[in-house]
Amino acid sequence: MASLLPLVQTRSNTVNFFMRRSGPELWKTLTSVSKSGQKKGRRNTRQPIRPLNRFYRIGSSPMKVEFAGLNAPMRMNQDQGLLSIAEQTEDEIRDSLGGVKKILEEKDTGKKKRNREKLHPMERGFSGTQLVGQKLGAPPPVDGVDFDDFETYCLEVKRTSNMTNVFGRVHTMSALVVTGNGRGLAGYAVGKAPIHRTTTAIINGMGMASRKIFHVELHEGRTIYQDFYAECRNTRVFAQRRPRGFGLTCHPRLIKICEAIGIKDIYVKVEGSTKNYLALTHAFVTGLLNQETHQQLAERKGLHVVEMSPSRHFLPQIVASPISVELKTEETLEALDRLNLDDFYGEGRYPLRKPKALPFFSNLEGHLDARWRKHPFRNQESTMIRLIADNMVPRWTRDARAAWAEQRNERMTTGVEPMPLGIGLSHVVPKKED
Amino acid sequence: MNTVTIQTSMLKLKPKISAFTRLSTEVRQSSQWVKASGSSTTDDVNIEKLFVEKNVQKLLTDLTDIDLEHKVFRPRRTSIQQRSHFALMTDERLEKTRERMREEARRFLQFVPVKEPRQETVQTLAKDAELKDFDTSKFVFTDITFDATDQDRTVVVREPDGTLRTANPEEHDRMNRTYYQKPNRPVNPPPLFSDPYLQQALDKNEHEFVLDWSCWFYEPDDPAFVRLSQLIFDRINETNKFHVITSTRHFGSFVFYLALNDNIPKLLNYFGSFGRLSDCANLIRLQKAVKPDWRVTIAQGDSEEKIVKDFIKQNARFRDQIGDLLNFINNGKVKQDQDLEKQTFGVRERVGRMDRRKARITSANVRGVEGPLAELSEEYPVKVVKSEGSGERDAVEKKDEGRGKGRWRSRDQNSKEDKKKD
Repeated sequence: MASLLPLVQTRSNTVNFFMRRSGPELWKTLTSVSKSGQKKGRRNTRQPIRPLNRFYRIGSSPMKVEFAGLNAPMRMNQDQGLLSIAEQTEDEIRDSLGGVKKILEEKDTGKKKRNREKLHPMERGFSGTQLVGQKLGAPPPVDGVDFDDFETYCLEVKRTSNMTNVFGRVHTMSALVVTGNGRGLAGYAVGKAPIHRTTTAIINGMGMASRKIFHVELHEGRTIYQDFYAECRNTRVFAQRRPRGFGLTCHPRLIKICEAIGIKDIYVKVEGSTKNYLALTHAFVTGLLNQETHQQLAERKGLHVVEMSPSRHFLPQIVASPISVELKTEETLEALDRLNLDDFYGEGRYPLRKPKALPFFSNLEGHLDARWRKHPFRNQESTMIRLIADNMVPRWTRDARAAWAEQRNERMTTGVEPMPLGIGLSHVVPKKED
Repeated sequence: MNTVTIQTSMLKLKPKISAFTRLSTEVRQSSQWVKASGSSTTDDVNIEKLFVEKNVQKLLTDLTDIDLEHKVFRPRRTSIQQRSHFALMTDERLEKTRERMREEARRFLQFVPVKEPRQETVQTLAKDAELKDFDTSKFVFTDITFDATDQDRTVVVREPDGTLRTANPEEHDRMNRTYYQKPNRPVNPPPLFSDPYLQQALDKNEHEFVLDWSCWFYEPDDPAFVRLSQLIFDRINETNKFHVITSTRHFGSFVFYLALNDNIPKLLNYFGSFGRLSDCANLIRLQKAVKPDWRVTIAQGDSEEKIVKDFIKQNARFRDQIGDLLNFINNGKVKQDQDLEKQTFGVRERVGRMDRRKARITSANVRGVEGPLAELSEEYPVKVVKSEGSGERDAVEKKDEGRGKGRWRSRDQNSKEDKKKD
């Protein structure tokens, strides 16, 4: 019985190491790390498996060999032999020389295509391409309630860890998420997920935030009713009401919270820990929820709440007056009722006000010298504006100004316009004719 | 004109020169404020004196009603951002504050003085022929002593032919500007003060803005100022846009100008359309005070109605101009468009937004049709929960705040209150 053994391919060369081992075995020598090596951090020193077959095709060497049936069609007539060496053109030689380089370049362009589409600067998050700080859209509907007009922001993603008996240190991703409709409704929550599942954590947080909605009363739909102070852990928050058009001047995380709630004008000073974002959020929201509206204030105090707007030259206008309680008179007024409202709400606490530090160069000799050199030109801009406003110079370009000077010169030489002469003005010296 | 400017302090020369200038005001013939077309022959009347006369001033102040909400303290754009103040007030306190604001408004509405424009003629102080051709330029001498004001500052000019003369108004202003610059008073008058920009501004009802700016830019005795304000006053009278100038500091001079030129029927009609009979009578009294030889007679004890009726009877030629007034006198009908006009005034100041802030529901009108229930309030009685003492209420609130369901409950209460309010 004929044995099948001769059909099994075996390597005959046992001398050369590279011929003796199979491809995967060879690659392992480059890519693998031992268990102890892994612990010592040798993982990063290893090489990735390179797809060598992409660079070297059979027969595409500088000497072009055609193997019938492999890289060339099978030929029926046997006399020509199984392999032949084809003639190469000069172009092909050139191509084959730069072949590896070309393939590598192609690989690079492929990577660039994978780049994500660019976000608008206003929609980018706090850092890079991370989701933190980006707009994340509306949370999913809950029990038939949909949150179409809500907008969600992730304020923080961090890795927390817990020591357990069985698994040792267990890491968890935790995401602080705020959602709100920009008209007073908002909610915030912390979502959790196993390690590296950032997006899952954020999605969990979105779902939870949409179940914890609270309502904040907004003054004129844009700012807070009164200045407040609030604290949580080591974070202290001083929020101040601001006029229309002021904008949001506060901690970046608070800006996102304000956008979610719908506050448009506010100034907030955060003291103490400014990096404990959960405490910061909690303190700010507590302060917002503890506010009272003007109507509530009027009811509580039994007095008119009067607005004195600077745009009306502080003409008093009643904003709210008590409905369910009697209006107090001057005789029944207590000392507390006479207190200034702004002082009353601050609970005696005021944020630390530091003057803005001067830049380091403000007193350097070179800077002072430069300022002194600019000094003669300090009125130039206002003069420019005045000349353009009076229609003396049509445009502040060199050409227009030169044309204007030329015109004036002409009018003075022809005597239409008098030459300004006198004490304090320079003499007019005629040009020498050479 | 080549000039050499020299600042001097000429204390000795001053009385002599001011004597010259005083002389010039006395020899003035006719007033610039009286239009030549007026048939009256009262050329020798002193307008400046007449304007500051006690009874004239009283009539003018009475005619200028003070509209705090919509005119004097209407929402304006302010140069700096500042938040509005809030205060708790009792009724007495509020009334006191309003009274103070009214006092302030009276100060704001102090009239712009009506003055004759300065004379263009100059006095020759000396003619020194020996100084002829001393220079190719004129020499201007300006008094910049500490106590010289812009009005009485001595400015004299030595002409190249040796004549020494007082400066004309233009030179005077230039010297003032040279030594004492005023902010917002540039060399050339802004294009707004001339057509077509002026007409564009007036079409947008910006009369007050233009007049205020002209006050800021010109002195009241500047010929250009007098011309400009007369132009604006004429256009107001032509187009019947009296609402743009009522309750402003220009209304006094406007009415005075109309009365001087015997041109009051349109304004009378305006007052009549709102049923302001006393204002009509005051206007007629003012006309009589300004023009004593006017043929309408006003007795001491005449009632307001009688004065107006007498005027209508004796001036039958104005009949077609005073239709609304006649309608009011005969039928007692008033045109109800006063509020509408106030709202259309000053579009760019966005009045509506500010008014929305005012409290609309108070203890007085919760139960009525004005309240939250509107017409339904007639069927259902509105109940307001009376709280028992503020202290207890506070305690309850404090307990409810904090966390969990308590907070929700307190919010529910609030929302109920809100519903009541809305």
